[in-house]
Parts: sequence; structure tokens; C-alpha cells
Amino acid sequence: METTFKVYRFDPENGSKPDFATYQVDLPDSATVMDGLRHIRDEQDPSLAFRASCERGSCGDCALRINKKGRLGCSLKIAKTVKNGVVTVEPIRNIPVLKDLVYDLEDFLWKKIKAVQPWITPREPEPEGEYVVAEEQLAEVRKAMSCVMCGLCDEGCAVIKIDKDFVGPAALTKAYRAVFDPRDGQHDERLTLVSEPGGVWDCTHCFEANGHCPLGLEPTDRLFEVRDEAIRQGIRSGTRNPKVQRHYDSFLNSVKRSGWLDEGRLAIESEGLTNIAGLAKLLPTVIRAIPKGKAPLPYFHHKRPGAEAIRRIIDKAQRSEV
Amino acid sequence: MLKYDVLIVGGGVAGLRAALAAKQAGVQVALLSKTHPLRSHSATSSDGLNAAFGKDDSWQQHAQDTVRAGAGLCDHAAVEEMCRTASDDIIQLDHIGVPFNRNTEGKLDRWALGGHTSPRTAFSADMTGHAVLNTLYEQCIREEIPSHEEWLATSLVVEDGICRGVLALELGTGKLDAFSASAVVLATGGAGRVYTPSTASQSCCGDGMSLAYRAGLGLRDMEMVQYHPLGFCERAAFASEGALGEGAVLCNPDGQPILQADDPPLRDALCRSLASAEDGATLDFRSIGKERIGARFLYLERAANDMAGISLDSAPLPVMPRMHRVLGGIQTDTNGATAVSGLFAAGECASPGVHGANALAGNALTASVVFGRRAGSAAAAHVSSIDPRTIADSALQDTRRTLEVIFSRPTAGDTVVTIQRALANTMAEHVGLVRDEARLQEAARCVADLQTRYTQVGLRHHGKMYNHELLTFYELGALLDVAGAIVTAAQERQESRGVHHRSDFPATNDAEWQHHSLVTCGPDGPSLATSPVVNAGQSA
Repeated sequence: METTFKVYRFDPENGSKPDFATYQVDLPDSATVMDGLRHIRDEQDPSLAFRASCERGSCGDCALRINKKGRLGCSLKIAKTVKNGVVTVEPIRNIPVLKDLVYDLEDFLWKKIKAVQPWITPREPEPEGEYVVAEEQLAEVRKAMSCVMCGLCDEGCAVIKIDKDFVGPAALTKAYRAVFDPRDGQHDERLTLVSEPGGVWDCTHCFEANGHCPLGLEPTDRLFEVRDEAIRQGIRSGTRNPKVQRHYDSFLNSVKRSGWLDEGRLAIESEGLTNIAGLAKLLPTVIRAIPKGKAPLPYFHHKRPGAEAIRRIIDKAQRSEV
Repeated sequence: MLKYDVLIVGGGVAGLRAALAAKQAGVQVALLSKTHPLRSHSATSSDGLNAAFGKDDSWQQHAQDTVRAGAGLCDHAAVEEMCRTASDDIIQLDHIGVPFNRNTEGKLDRWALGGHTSPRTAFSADMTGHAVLNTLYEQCIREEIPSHEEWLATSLVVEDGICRGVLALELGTGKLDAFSASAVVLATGGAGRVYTPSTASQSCCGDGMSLAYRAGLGLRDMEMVQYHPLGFCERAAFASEGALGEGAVLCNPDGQPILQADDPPLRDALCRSLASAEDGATLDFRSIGKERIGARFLYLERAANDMAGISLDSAPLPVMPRMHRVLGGIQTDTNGATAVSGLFAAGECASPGVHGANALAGNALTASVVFGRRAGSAAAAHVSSIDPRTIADSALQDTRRTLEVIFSRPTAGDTVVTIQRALANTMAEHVGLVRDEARLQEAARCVADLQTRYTQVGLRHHGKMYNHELLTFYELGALLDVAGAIVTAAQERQESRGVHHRSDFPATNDAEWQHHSLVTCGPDGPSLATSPVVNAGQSA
């Protein structure tokens, strides 16, 4: 199959600016995008740099942006992705590029994995043999652990794009593995750790991570489960991260009061009524929102029909939680 | 210039296990690896870990099965060491978080794999290697073990028979540096890329085998090249043999089962019979059911879909034998020690003597864990007996000159890629599942010819950063060493034994050939010697 590969090129050694180069590739229908890149490097341009290791979807080394979507190059056939005869290959986004398709995962991923301290400390008393654990308890841990650390969920994350301090869905999926492992002896400590600023509460629920995971591991849902577990254990981030606590309280109070979310009030109460600097930061957003009809003036938040019933549901849920 | 007590070269399961053992012994240890540890080939290991648990099995029985598979070439001391201690290693891995599958009592579930007389393979779905690798990595970051990633060790520094460290090339920058160490553990993995196609990752180029070989050490049992019966697709993918233990049925194209129930044969016999079946074979999971497939074949369910377009619960998966691993490697004792003081080896690059002429499914990963631990501990113990010495900067001069020569060679015609491709094709064609003298002679001639071409080949790309052609140059050098050793040993062994099958010598000849082959680097190329099998008289 004849295909045009448009490949991102950047070589800091020769001082040139990043650009796309075009290559013609003729490979069998079964060929993967990785086969295409290897063909280009071996036959046409030995200076092309990219990472690849296992060639079977086991190691996560070949995560790339292929035709504008994050994919593992070794597991994607050219025939499946080609559009009008063209395959465009770029590094994943929001990450420093070192050369061509090789990017720097150190700050983007590896440091964040370390930050959630994902190691297991054997729970006391440590048995002589294996821990006796129900298969159901380990099945989801195993699945979460099958993550190949490709970084594609972080690449798709809407928060990391603007806040590099968010540890992100990959590291929090790793945290899930430890939090829900019944053999771990540092359950509460880890929950406290991931409840700090930059942790589970910085997720904005866009669910992009789920859509970007090539293994279908649903990182967003796992992050939520870690958060739910923190709440169940009474670990709220209030003392360490008061903004999150204010956001949580405002959200809940708004829905209880009016049956739905008062977004304007949520933004103000989350920043804190006495936090002048924080409130000032909201202004540009408000100014941009007005002409787009996203902040109707005069601002008035009214009660929705059925608000009383919604309040009763919340009260009931809160009573059962206690 | 960096200096450690113990330097581990390679970040796969054996390397990480060695690093943890050395750290726990209280020495200063660091990792140096060609890829990030989590990209290591260990991640593809899919069968599990073997150990006898419970009253119906014993480590002696595991040892007997191992020795029987090894067809008279296992060193019994090594086999016994592994089989006796593997259960403790597996329990420890459970305690630090490998999510092994559980049975209905909540204890370790076990697969019954070919050649084992009891179900004794603990597994974490069909991703045990991945799970062990990730778990060990978690513990290594907890211990804050320094890790130099994307560094290629280009040579060992051996002075007066004592290993003083390694010289290495940083792939991202092209920088050369010396890493001084009182002990070095080679855990660089296998050499599967000496064949094509193979199940090997891009990194499996026999780097450590070649480093040891060039330092004068012997490579043992290199003619023993194992094929995996359940390769699929055109690339490195393969199904876990656990599929057979779980009830998937291997069928001919008419849908008739190939194997007798409850008696999966050893891999070598299965591979030869599959290779001779003209119309191929399929692996049928349909009787297992979607739910169980999802729970036990996390990798395969996804990969069959992505790579072969097959949903395991609705259609059988076409499979074929594929070159899997070189069973031989750097000759070591049961502590991973080599004949060079301060140099240890473990994992797929090493030959402590457990596999002999054929490896049982699951024994390779088990050996990486057990002998990785032992090599790490032994390397740490060695540190106090050595007067540490820093490698002189002048040691890098030779490597710098080599690079200058390589970069100054003319670049017309041959490339490292064409030579590597020719080598891997030659090995697959002439040194495959069934061998004979004529093919092996042809292979020897081709390898010698490629070796000559290698000494003249130039590089088209001269950049320093991530110069893959330069990396391939070094890897090809290692692959040529490995190929030379395989062909030499295969030619000399004029019998059939285990995975080494010669159509011109189909019988096993214990009287003349029950000994290890040992290939060393002679002035005129590979030179073959033999070494006795320890306790061979007891082999079953």
C-alpha cells in the first residue's frame, strides 16, 4: 500500500526549526505505523529518531500522535489510520521534544509516578506464605497495573495542558493500584498524599483520559475511585488544600439550595470571598465569557423545578454516608 | 565519571532484582540501561513463575521436571538452587505487590504448563513479566536507586583479571563516560534479534553476552535456541502457553485438536510438529468464554484484536512457531559469578546452567528472579574484598578513536541495517528449528562474510543525539558475536538434543555429547571448547 508519511522533524544539533518532512512508503497491508517509521529510517533517512521497543503493545515506548490522535505506533496498522493516503506522525503534545519523535518523559511522567509513592509496603501482620485475598479484590488492581505507562492519558489531560503540577491520570492510575491493593500497609498515608494540591482534587472531570487510554483502562474512573475512597476514609483535603474544600462546599450547597449548580457563585466561593488576588484572576475569564454569551448579564441564578426533591435526595445520601 | 560499589547493567527483571538485593546488602548501587527499565523485554514475559507449593508437589519434583526437559545438560546444583528457593521469591513478590491470580481459597492460583508434572506456575494473567517488572521498579524507586537510562555499555574495563567498571555511551547526547564499580552485574537480556522473525524486543541484541565474550569469557550452550509455539501476526507477538493450561485448544485448519488433552508436550516437539504442518494451526479460546478470557488474558485479548483483528471469544487465532530466545549465555556459577573477578551476570544473558538443552515454560522468568537476587547479593558481598579503583579517563581514548574511525569510513553501499537484516535472515533460514551440516556450513560462511563487511561499514548519519545508526552499529557487533557462537556450537554438536535438532544426526548421543559447549573469542574467530555437566549422571 502506497502511503505518504508526514513526519515531525526537529534536530537541535543543526539549529533548524521544527518542521514536517514527507516520505513515500510502500508496505504490505499488514504494516503498522511503526513499520512505516522504521522503513523510513532504514531505507531513506537514517537521521530520523523515534523510540520503539517491544513491537507488540506491551511496553508503551512508541506512544505518538498519529493523524491527530494519541496511539501506540506498534499496534496501529497503517491501513486503519491512513486518511487520503496520508499518515501524519508527531510527538505527543504538552511535552518537551528532544529530537524528532523522541520526547522527554522525565518531568511529564516518571517524576509524577514517583510522586505518588506507588510501592507496596506489606500490611502487618505479614503472613508466612502469600496473602490470602479474594480474586475479586485483586482483579481490578491487576488491570490497573497492566498500564504500560505510555503517557497518552496525560497527553490528553485538559488540566496538565495548563497546570504542569497536576500529577495526572497516569500517576493516579498507579496510585489506584496501591490504594486498592489489600496487601498494602500504607493505605491512609497514600490517600492523604494524593489528596494534596496537584492530586486527585485537581481533576476537572473532562474524561479525556478515558478516551485517550489505548488499553481501555479508564484512568478517569480510577481517579474518581481513589477520591471516593479518600472521602470514605474521612481524608478530605481541607486542611492542606482549602480551595478544594471551598469548591466542594460551594458545589454541594448550591445544588442543595437551588437544585443545580450556580457556576458564578462557585467560581467566587472557590477562590474565597476575602481572596482578592484570586478573585482578580477570574476577571479575564469573565470578560472573555461575556461576548460569547457564557456569562449572561444581569447574572441571576434561579431555583430549578424539583429542587426540594433534589435536596431531600442529598440529605438522605448524607445521612446514609454517616 | 561516576563511581559506585555495584553497577547493574540492564533494567529488566534480573537487573532490578539484583539492584534491590545489592541495596539491601547496604552497598551503593546504580542501574545503567539501554532503555527505560519499564520498556525492557521482561515486560513481554507471559507464562509466569514456577515453584512447588502445597503437599502434592515438591521442589525436588520441579527439579526433576526441569532436568528432564534440559535433556542431560542441566547443572544440578543450579537447578536445585532455583527450585528450592523459588517459592520464597514468589512469596516475597506477592508481599511487595505482584497481583498474582488467586484460586477460590484466595491463595495463589497455578497454571499447568507443558512438561510440568504438577500445576506450579503462579501467574498474573498473561502479563506476569510486566507485573513483576513494574513491582520491582516500584521498589527500586522507593529505595532511590540511581538509574542511568538510555546509556549503552560499550565495553567492560578489566585490568589484571579484575572488572573495574564499564565504558558507556549516552544515547541521547552521544557523550562517552566511564562508570567505575567494584562489581558489575550484567543483566542485559537476550539476543533474540539475531533471528527474524522473533518474539524479541528491539533491545534484545546480546549486548552483555558480547561484552563478556570480548573480555575473554565463555558463552555456554549457545546452540540451544528455543522457539515459541504460539507466535501470531507478523511481528513479535505471542500468546502465553498458559492458554493451553487454561483450556484453549490448538487445532489444525479443519478445527481438529492437535494435542491430546491433559498432556501438553514440551515446546521443542510442539514447535517442530507445528512447523511441519503445512496449513498452519489455530488457537481456539471459544470454549473458555469471554469473561474468563478477559480475566486471564489481559494482554492477548487486546493484542489479538489490535494486531490480528481477531476477537478471541468469537474466532480462533492463527499461530505459528517463532524464534523465542537463546537459552545459553555467559557461563556463571549459582551466584552469577563469572571467571572475571568482580563481574557477575544474571537473567537471559547468563547461563547458570538451569535450562540445559530446553527450558520449561516459566523457568526463564523464575531464573531471572532467583539468580538476579543471588547475583546482586554476591556482587555486594564482593565489594568489601576489593580495593576500589577509579577508571582513568584515558580508558575512553580507545572508544573515542573507534568512533572517529567509524565516522570516517566511506558510506557508499553497505549499511549496518542491510548487514543486520542479512544476518537475521541467515540465522532463521539455516540455523532454525531443524539443522544440518550443509546449512550450518552455509551459515558459518555467511556470518564470516558479514563480519568482514561489518569491519568496513560506514555510517550515513553523524549526529550525536539519538543516533540510531550508531546504536545499531554497536548492537550489530554484539549480534555477530552471538551468531558466530551459535553457529560454531551448533556445527560442532553432531547430535540432536533438546531444542537442537539435526536432521543429519537425529539421535541423542550421550557417550560423546553430554557436555556443555563453551565458545570463546579466539584470534581467528569463535573457538569451541566443552565443559562437563555437573552431576550429569543423575539426569533423568
